[in-house]
Amino acid sequence: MTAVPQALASLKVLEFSGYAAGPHIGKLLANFGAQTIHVESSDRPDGFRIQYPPFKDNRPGYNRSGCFAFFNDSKYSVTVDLKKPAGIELAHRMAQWCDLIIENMRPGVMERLGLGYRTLAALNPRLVMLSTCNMGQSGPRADQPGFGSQLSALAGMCGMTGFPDRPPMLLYGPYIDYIASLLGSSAALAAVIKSRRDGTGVYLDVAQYECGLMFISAALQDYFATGRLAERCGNDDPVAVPHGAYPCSDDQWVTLSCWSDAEFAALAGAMRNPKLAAGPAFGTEAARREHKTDLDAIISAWTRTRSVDGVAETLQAAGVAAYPVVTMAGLFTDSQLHARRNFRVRRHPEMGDHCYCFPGFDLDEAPGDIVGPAPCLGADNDYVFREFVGLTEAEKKAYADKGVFG
Amino acid sequence: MRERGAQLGMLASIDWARWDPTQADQAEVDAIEAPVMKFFAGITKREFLTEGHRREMLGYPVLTVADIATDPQLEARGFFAKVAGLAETFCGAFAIIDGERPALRHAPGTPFTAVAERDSKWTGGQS
Repeated sequence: MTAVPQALASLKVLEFSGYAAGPHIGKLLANFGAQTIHVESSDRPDGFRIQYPPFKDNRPGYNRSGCFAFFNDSKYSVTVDLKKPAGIELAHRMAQWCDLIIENMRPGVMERLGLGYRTLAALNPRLVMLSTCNMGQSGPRADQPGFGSQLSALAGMCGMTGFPDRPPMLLYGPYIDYIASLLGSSAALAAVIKSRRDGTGVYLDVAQYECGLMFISAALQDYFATGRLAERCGNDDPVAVPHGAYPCSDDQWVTLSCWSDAEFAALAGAMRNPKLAAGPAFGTEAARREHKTDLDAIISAWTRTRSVDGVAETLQAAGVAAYPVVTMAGLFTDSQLHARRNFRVRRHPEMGDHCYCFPGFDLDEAPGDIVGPAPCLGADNDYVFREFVGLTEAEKKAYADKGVFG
Repeated sequence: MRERGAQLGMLASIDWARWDPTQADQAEVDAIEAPVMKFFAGITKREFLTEGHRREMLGYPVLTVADIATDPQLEARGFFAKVAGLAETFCGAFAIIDGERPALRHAPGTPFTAVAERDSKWTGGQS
């Protein structure tokens, strides 16, 4: 826990969202002090709580999901049954409490529930609301459901990943969700600044598809300018050669690349084979590309007799871009990540000590933190509705009697 | 697949209400995927996208930059943008704000008129 006020300590956030893209925005804000409430119900909990492993001891349960924990640390959890009129009434009161709502339901769902932006903005004129979904709130395919793991195919990434003579490769995890959530968090903060400046709200429509295209904007611009289609090329690069992954003696892999003749000369020097860079076969970028198979074999023969850390250190010292291919286990023992406290252990009521991932940025004067573990489903009903929303005991009992907290 | 008279193979005999993908072995998955792959090989990416949308399927085709450049969804949302005085086409702003996609800026010092007006509206005239 931090001892100084966090940068977003006065920001109040409500999430009607699940899975990755919406909750990751809220997590980033919560890590810097925003009071972030994750709204679910027992009937419709966040899908990550129940659908995706890993689960603690491999036993599924609402409060046992590592995947849910990853996206939801530092938040409060409440359960509100939005199928009940009284649940919507309570959601309206919560909307009057908050500065920012994040939702990632399919377009039209919030409106049908009575939680559309116009309705809520009438209750809270300074409200910022961010809606994020695969296609955005408009357009002929706005209502298409989907997940980021497949959306990266639509956004051009998979078609450019893999080898030319083999099928496209799907990327690891909901890659595009991370792009959209990082962009979304910056848009949300900009809108909050604007709202605080002039007292009026903002509605943000963030399409994950479009956010993903930012990642391949160079390939798109190249197509618009020249008609050239970016295609799969394995580990090759249009500029750097060599550029790839090479085996090491300890069954690990090292990646390296040379972006100029000078860098290749540095690589050859590190390999104690300076003649390699002077000869006609590998002396220029064009020659290295022409003799790529031979060059990769020479580099592999050198890396194969050395440990991955030894290769990476030797090449980095020589000014060649090189990193080990790190496994999940390796990440948790990485000294750089350890020094920057990237992983922080917090005790979860059911999962016990659990590692949470801190964002890759921090603030010197008001550092962020993993403020708390991921919340158990509905664990904060009593506190949130009393302390934040301001319900009296009688009001809480009335809502409970109507089954709203289910 | 039934609508088009495709060979269903093993798919026809599965009770989908009871089938548990977490219990299937690779041989079973391969047998399921074989007729699906054959079926998909006979339809275009655009057709898959259109029909997948109509049927609310969780699936997308693998698009190229050429496909993306002509995607009606992006066109309807005005995603790609030009900047006055430049020939290139760019990805537009990543968010639509209050129903409007902000225009792209010129280089610093030469504000795009629409952006300058919007900035003024947002800042209340303050710089």
